[in-house]
Amino acid sequence: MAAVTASESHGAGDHADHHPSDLTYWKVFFALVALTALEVSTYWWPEEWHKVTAVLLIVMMLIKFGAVAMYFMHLKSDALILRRVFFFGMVLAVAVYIAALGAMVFFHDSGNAVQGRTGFDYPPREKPLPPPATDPPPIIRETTGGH
Amino acid sequence: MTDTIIDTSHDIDDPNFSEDSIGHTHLPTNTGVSNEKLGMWVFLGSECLMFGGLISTYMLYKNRPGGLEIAPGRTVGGGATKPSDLFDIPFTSVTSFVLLASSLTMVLAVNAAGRNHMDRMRIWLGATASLGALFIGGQVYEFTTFVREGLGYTTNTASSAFFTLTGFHGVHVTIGILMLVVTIAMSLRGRIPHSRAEAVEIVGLYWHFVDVVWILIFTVVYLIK
Repeated sequence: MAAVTASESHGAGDHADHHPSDLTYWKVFFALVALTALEVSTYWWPEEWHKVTAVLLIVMMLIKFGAVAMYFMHLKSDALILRRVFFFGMVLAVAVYIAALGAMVFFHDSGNAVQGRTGFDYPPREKPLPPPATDPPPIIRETTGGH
Repeated sequence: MTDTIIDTSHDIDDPNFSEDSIGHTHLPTNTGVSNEKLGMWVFLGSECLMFGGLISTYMLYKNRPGGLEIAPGRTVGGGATKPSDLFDIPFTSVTSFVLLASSLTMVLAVNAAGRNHMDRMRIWLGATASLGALFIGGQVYEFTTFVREGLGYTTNTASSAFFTLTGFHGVHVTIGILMLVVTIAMSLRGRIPHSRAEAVEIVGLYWHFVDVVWILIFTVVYLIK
């Protein structure tokens, strides 16, 4: 039988042609090492820069994440469906947890405003809740005993 | 039912047709990707959700090292020490570099397997497992230091979230090491021929995912103040 299915239609050496060489992997690795070194150095940057530092750290983290996923995990050269499956899970996770953190008031001063609290009792109530309502005391009728 | 789309651009009599030069056997699946590999990617996609939950929990509680009032007047935890008070960034940086290096050795092992250099593949896999074990050793040292400093699993909500997150990651690394050792053993017994080199790639996907998760943890947990 000479007919083949479309899914079999990868030619010989397709993956070998698309996968990077060892040299490329070494280059990616050294780029990752340099980025990690820069990340670590931010720990000693002045405290006043913390907002800029946080943004920079997130950007570097995403670059590292992308480099490992694209080159080391071969997403760059593999089938498109794999990229879709993985990034769908990732985007879903990020969306769900950003929403969850928002609901738990994490983005209110990064949660620092509620230091020492567990989050279950935030925001603090201005007035204490009234004591729980209790049933009225039962009416006790005195009986005189006479008929 | 197999796919009925006909592609005549390749000659089925070509001896290289069903197996390319790095050992990928092309199976008649609708996606063009082997079921094992697709299954691993779906698994990794679901792992994103699990680690996302653990990272979010830590972010939520890292500045709230309070106790949990489980009943009126009865609180669990409540210790004031936060994990971030005890972080040793230079030490954790070294372990991060170690894990990063293990990703390089892993991908070199995958490339070696694809080129049918099985001896070299086993050496790289051994190096990857060793680097992973070094990372786990570092994590055990970090945990014991924290406990010695008075930060246990139930000290407060922040410590619980920290140990759960990093502990789960450590368990993943440990499972990865076991997978690597099994792969080396199977290869030594001749059960991973060139035609099944994709098995090494699938183990590699898991290992790189563990590295990717650590990239997130290292930044979000350790570096962002």
